[in-house]
Amino acid sequence: MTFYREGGYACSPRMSTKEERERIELLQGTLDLLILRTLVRGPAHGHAIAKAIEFNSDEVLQVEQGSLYPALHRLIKRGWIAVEEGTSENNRRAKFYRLTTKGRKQLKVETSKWDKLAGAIARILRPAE
Amino acid sequence: MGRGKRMLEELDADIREHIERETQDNIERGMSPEEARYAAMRKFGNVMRVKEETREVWCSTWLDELWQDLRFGLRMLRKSPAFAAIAVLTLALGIGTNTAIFSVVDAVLLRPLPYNDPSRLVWATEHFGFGPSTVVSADFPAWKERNHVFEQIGASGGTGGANLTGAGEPTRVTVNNVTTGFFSMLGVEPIVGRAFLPSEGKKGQEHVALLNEDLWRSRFGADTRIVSKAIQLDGTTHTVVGVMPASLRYPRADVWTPLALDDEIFSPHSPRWMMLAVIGRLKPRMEMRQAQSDLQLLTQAMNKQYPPQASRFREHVAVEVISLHEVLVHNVRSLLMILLGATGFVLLIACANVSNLLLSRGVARGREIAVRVALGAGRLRLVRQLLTEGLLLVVIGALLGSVTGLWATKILKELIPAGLPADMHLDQRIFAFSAVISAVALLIFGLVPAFIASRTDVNETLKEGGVHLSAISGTHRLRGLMAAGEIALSLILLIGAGLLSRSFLRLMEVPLGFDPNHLLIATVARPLTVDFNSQLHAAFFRDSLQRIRSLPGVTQAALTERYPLGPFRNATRIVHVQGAEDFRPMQPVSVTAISPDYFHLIGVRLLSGRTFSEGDVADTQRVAVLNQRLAHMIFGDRNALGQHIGFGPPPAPWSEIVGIVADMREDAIEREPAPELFVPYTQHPSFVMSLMLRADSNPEALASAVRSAVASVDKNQPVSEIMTMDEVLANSVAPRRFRALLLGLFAALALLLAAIGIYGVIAYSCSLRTCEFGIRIALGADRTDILKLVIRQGFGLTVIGLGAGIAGAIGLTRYLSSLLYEVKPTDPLTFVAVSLILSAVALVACYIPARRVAEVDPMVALSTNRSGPQ
Repeated sequence: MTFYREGGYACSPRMSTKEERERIELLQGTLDLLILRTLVRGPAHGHAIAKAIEFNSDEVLQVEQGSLYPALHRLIKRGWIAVEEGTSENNRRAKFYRLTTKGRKQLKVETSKWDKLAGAIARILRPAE
Repeated sequence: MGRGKRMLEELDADIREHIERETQDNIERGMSPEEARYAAMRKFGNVMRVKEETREVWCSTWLDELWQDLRFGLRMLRKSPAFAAIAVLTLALGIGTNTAIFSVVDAVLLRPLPYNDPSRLVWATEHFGFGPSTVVSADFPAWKERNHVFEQIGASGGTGGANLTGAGEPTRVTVNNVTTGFFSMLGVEPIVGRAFLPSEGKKGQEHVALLNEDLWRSRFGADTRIVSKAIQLDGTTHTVVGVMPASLRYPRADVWTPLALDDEIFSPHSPRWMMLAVIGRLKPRMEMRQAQSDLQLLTQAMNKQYPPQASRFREHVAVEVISLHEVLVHNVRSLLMILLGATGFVLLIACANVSNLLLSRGVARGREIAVRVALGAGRLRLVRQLLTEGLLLVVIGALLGSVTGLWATKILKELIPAGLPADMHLDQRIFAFSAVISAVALLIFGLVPAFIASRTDVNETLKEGGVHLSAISGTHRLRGLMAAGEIALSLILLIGAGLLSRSFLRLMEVPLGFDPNHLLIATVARPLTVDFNSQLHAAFFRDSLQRIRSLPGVTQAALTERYPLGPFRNATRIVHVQGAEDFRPMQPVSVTAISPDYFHLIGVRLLSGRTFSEGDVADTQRVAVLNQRLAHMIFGDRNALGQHIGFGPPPAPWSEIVGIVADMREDAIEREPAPELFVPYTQHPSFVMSLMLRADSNPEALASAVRSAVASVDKNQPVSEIMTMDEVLANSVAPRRFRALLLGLFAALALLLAAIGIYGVIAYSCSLRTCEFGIRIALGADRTDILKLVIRQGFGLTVIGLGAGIAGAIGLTRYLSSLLYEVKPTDPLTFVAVSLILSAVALVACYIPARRVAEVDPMVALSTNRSGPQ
């Protein structure tokens, strides 16, 4: 099986430190899905998105926060999210990312893909069930 | 990109912002500011790498991705060198054959003639309902003076020959007469000296000559001082005025002289009209149709000026105007189209093969592709990746193919008609053609597998462990159809080649009516001088014959005006029969002057009466021998011996028919024997005769002895041409053999590729079903059952292919009918034999993988269950 760099996607999962071994590293394509999912609830700035992903997964999914940025840019390039200037809760300048209509559609597609993949992997891992 | 640029410019600020927020959060959780900052930095990860990856999101351009795809594709090809080699070679064959044939098509049909503004050059002719198409010289002045359509108009009197003497060894050269403005009309300039002056077209001033560059180099050492020197043509002095470039292929000759037209030739009442070939340069934007109707009117207006007895052939005169290019390439156009079609088929088969290979790889790579889809690769991205691999194959294949194709053009030179430049050189059109067919090939074989492979269902594929069954059944049907299509296409080509080969074999079986073994033919043309004395020529030929007869190694020798399958010399439509005045021959009767022992030498049977004897000379009773066909044509079942006939223009003295000989194939092997009349050369001297001899061993070895024998009679007399009968025979069937060989070669290629194709499909399907067969064997199935099962599958494909191929062949072979001899385009024998050969090859191609899988150990088969095909 060959992995290769696909348009800027990082390939192999990375482990940050030994302590984080219990946490699940994200497949890169999956991060896109999570960002889209987070933005369904409304526009958010980068830091808030990272926090939301960690929080909503009971801190099982640990985003290496920096990797959010290539993903955000990628999504903007594809037109799935848009960016607008705004002020945050404490009146600081911030960039807000917002789901576009196209992004909303994509989310549905990606979600169903993910369901299939997850189901398939589950069946392979536990064929008896 | 503007949006991206702005986003990137703000990236530093965004990251700083992010880390500050995280630091703030950490401080609120009770960390010291320093600790908080460190934790935030650690959590963010490597800032440099993040920036770089973000930049890549925007900067990874189409080209970058192409480069990635190319590198990846190369790696994939290196991993399976057998696949890569087969695919590249297959494509190289397909593209190479197409490039080769196209370079001929380019040279013959596409490239403009090497004249100035050649599209305006047209060939104009009159048709009289019989005889060759030509322009009667008496009509030419009207065309020249009164037409409204031509800028310039010129005529050629056709190509004849002359003996060139006084420049080294005497030699025979071809001479063409053209009107003085001919070359300036074509727009071809002499490379040395000047072209003809208008005054040189007048009688008495026409003894000037233009040399062909080739002759100038070979005979005159490319000496520019040749201009204004004198040469001897048939003993007449001509002054050289210039040298024409070798690239001038029409009108083709070694020497050109001005066509000197006098009033008599131009007069409708003259007994000696000339037959002219007329070329004109149309005025700008003038249509050929307009030119045709203009000349038609002029010609019809001329009718009134002819004497009443000419009206019979004048009343139906029709003028035709065709582009000069069309006239020069007419003979090869259909052949080239057939060959282009055939190579197109080879290319299609090659594409189907590579497509098949890619499909099986696509399925085998299902898991890899599924993983990439799961990782977020878009479908278009995948198609592009797979297409890039195809592109690599096709580029390598095209390079290899073009090289071999250009090498092959050397063999194909024979396809170029004489009137065109014979050089096939690389130009943009050939490159463009190769590029276009490569692109088409890529689309055909690359796109389908790419789309099918990219439609991978992640879920199913990962579940099946790399082999996705529904995808397989879908592609498998497609693959089967493609293999069947390959069989169909190669069957069509094989049938075409079979028909041509069978025609060739039929031709070789035709009884010639004469014995061609050990014959040598030396043709000698006496100079046509002013003091032409036919009896002197007869004496010359008699002396030459005697010397040749006495040469060691010569068993027999004779003279003939015309030899079988050689050039046509003399024929007449005017034949009178004493006592049957209303007899008119239905076709021209060939008249050949011979020496008495000619029939004996060539082995033609005397059916009745006698052949000529030494006693038949100029002042005895004129005698003639008829061939069986002419005797039957005139006299039917009545006895021809002793009857009297006259032939040719008046005065035509009566000749007594003294013998009847069997027919032989004179015109061409495929042509039925024509009516022929033989006369003694002593009574009908000719200035062109062939000395024919039968040698006791190799006739070729006698060639130089024959030349010196002729020179010993007249030192100024060259031998025009010297050939063995074997060479004459070979030349006469050469185009046919060449066509059969060429199409046969393409058909063999197609067969090979189709065999590889069906082998690939069956081998692949076997590898998928290894497990199934293992189970069957484990459950007690006979190995021969497995063998039968696989072969039945392959045979099914073959039968579909054969059916489609036969239907296609029935539709297409009629385009070959002009090239066939005594074989119908739907010849059942060829169809059946070729189908059987193809079936046998297909069966072998199926049998090899079938046997391998039938011998599989069930335990091994079952344990390789999930491994997928390799």
